[in-house]
Amino acid sequence: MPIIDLNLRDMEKLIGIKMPVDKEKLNDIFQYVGGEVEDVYGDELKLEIKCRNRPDIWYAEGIAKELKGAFGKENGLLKLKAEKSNYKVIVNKNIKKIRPYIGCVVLKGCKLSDNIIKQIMQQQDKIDGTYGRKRKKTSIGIYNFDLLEFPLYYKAIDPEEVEFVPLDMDRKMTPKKALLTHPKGREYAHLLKGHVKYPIFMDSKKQVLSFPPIINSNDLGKIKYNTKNILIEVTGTEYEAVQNVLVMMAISFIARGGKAYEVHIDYPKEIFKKDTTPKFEVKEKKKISTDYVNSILGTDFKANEIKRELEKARFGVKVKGKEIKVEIPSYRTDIIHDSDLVEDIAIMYGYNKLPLSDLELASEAGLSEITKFSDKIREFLIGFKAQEVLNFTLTSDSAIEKSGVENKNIRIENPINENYSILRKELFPGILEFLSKNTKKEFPQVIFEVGDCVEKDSKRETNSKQIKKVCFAICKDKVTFTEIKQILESLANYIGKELKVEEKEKKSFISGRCGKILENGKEIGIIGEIHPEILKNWGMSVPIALFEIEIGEVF
Amino acid sequence: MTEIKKVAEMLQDNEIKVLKNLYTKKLAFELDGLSQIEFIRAGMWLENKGLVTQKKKKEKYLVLDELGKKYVKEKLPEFRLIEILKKHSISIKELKEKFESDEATFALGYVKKKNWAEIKDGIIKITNTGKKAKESIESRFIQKLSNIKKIKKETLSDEDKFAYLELRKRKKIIKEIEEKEILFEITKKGERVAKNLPKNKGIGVLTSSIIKTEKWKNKRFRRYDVSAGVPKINAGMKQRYLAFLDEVKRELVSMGFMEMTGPVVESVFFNNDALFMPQDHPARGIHDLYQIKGKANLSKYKKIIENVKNVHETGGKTGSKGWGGEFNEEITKNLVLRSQTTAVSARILASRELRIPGKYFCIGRCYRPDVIDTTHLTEFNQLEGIIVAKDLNFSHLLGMLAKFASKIAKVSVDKVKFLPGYFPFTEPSVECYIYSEELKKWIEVMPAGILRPEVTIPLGVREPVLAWGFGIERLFMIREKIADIRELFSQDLEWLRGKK
Repeated sequence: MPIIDLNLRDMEKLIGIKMPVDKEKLNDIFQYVGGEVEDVYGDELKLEIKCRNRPDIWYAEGIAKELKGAFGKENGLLKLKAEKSNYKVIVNKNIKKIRPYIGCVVLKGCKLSDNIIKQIMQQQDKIDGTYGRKRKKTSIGIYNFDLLEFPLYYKAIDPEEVEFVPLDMDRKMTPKKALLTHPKGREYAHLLKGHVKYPIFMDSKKQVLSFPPIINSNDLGKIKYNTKNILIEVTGTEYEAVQNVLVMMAISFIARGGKAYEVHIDYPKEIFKKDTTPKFEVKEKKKISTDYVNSILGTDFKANEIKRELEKARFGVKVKGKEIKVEIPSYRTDIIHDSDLVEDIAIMYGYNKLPLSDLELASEAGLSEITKFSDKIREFLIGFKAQEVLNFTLTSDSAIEKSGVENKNIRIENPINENYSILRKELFPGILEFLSKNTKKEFPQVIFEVGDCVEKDSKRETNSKQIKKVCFAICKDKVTFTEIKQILESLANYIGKELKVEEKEKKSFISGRCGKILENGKEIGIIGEIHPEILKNWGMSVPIALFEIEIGEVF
Repeated sequence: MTEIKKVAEMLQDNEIKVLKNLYTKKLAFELDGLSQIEFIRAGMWLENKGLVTQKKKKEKYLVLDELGKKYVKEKLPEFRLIEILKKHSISIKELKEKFESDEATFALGYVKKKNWAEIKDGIIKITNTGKKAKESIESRFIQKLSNIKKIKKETLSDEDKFAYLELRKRKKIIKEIEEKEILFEITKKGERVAKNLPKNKGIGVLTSSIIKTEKWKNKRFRRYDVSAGVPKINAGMKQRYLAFLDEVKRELVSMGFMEMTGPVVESVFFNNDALFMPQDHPARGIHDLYQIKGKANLSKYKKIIENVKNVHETGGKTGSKGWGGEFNEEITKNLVLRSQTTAVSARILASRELRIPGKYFCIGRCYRPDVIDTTHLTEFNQLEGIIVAKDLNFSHLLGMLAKFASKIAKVSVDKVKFLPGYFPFTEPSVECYIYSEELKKWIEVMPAGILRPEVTIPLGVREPVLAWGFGIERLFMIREKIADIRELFSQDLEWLRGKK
């Protein structure tokens, strides 16, 4: 979930309301954007935005537009307008297979500051990273308009055809070199893998603006607190996504006093028709009824009440009887179903003001058979003064090897900690590990665990089968095979299973004191005294006798 | 019966012996017939009953040192020299070859002084006195020390004292150590009890032979101090966190829920695709899901996969726009460790066993590649639940969450609040917070929502489905005031046995 840095004084200016200092009160304010305050120190605020699908609220100006609605400072559609202009970007058809789409907007008269620039960089970073799928789908460039000579060109070039100074570097290099040496070049080089030509964005004086989606020019692509006039460019692989990101970026600069001017995109016919950006106009309208809204929320809202909440959420709304027509701003990429509008109505109305209803439903209830059976076994074993334990199902190669068990376990391909890198297929190595951590505690130690084990099985739906097992262990001086077998037989009798024990050789157990446990001829478990070599592996010097049997299949 | 008599009848054999002894001697640090441990233990029991008091004293003891122990085996050097001389005379040169230099000098000096040998022209020759020499005060003393291990310095006899002073001149034969000694002194009450000790021995542990032979009829039962402490034993117990989960399960069954189960090795189809998470969603990467080798066999879900594919690409028949792009059917077969139990809900919704109306729950393990710390585990449990029925709405869900807060977290309704949440598979989504008095803050515990039509319709369900997936560990931690999530899987047997 995105976590963003905000400045409370800046938010006060943007929204026009006073911000409280108390964390809980701040949470009450930011609930309208699904925000939760992580931390406040002085005027600085760290806000977690829960909505992973709303890039339009991952930055100060975007949050401000919503809160202005929630607190009655503005409502309805955000007023966005781009002035006519002659600015033009000429797109070459050779970019088609690499990164075909581009959108631009010019913003004049912006009032920036170091803090605002920090906000904008943060916005750019969050959108590139998440909505832009780490710049694969979209990437953003911001330039000092006053240094540019129109028209601009977007095309593909040979990797060593031009030279420019990449952002935060002090010498010129070719795109090829930037990929190899610039940190961003190395980070994003994979996006251009397999292409013999690279995208470039240039002006009429052949100055490089950027090498999308890798890096901007240090000379043209750096804005400062005193930069007034700006060009924003978004390139990408999906037309709609490019337009959406461009609008979101424009909203920020407009909130900072900028006046927007359109830019004509001169596509070759192989790619797209002639285009003009940004796309501020509403493209999408939905019709919902009061009945629909009330049936989802369990409310009794009238059409006008719904209209009021939707306007607070910055939608354009017209009411006609029970029918509500909603105009959806283009930056609301998350609205893909009518139910998404219903949630916004509930959020603006306030979740805590919604009614709570009781549910009277006659339905079948009960625990699953496997749970009932496990619980019966657990309760019985506690009667032997045994302590139940709980281990993780994830374990390590070393635990398996120390226990003398063959390592055929299901393995995680991308573990982050080797102690949790394979799934257990039997319980007793975990039991041995547990006991090895209690060598200084009181004896006797009698413990058991009931838990799921997983093993490979290519005949099954998930290429594996999941079995619930029980393992019971006695750890004390002079423990005998008889003692552990008494408990096994007593358990078998209690749960009505006919179990037989036949001699078996297993590395983990003392030869001649180990048996496989059979039910109707099928091997379902193991019993025996743990071999001293295995105890030594675990750093233990008190004998252990144990048994483990299958209880049933989970999946 | 007087208090004194009662106490007298409670005493065990060793206590009686010690008390009797103290009654005559007043003060003692040992008793013939009892080991030191038995003596001290009996003394301490008497002390607990107020019959004696304990005094600690530091005492100096003599014990054999390194060479002393060696000489017990090999004899003192002077005797070893005499042994040789008894057989034949030797030269000083030979003496120096056979003995360490210190020992040679000392042994020679000793036998000369005792007139056991004489030296002539460098040859050592035994005298008649020497021929009779068998032991000395010193040799007797080291032999005695070897037998009794230690001797109190204060109580040395004159002879022993002389031996000690002699041996002290020689290195590493005797050493002095200091030990704490416990003395018991009888109290006034002790004296009164001692006068009232019962004549015959009482019955201690009751045996079946005593019952059968009716021997008890003429005897008294020794009184026990029933208020005395006893050694601890451990009962068998459910694991503390599992006991809580059992309670939650019981509560849910009583609220009308049916338990459902599902696999932990899961296909991304049920873990993500069926839950309408776009295939290129950032939360589906290797940093968010544990990948497992191999492919799932999903042939029996052909129709459902087709529906899910349509809903992702175009919204299908759900009234949604979908995600656009192309849905890759190969990806659906990839295997992962389930990252949320909502996968189990998706399975029951897709299953023919689904009953409508129906209420289902499960408590299941989930896995995420998180670094383990006080608030995160890489393997954890979720309490998943769904309710499917006609005419369900958001207010039912909020009502249900408030009920959970009171039944499971045991907090009142005014300690519950709802805030917007975001989950890819629900709309509207809600986060239910409860107020922790302990932490003095609101804690996010119960995320929930109405499953999106994009989730339910492709699985064949037209009715609304209320759904939630709680981090059940958190609820337990709040209730039990546990700050570190790792404690729930503690491998500390004492924590499990309930000892802090």
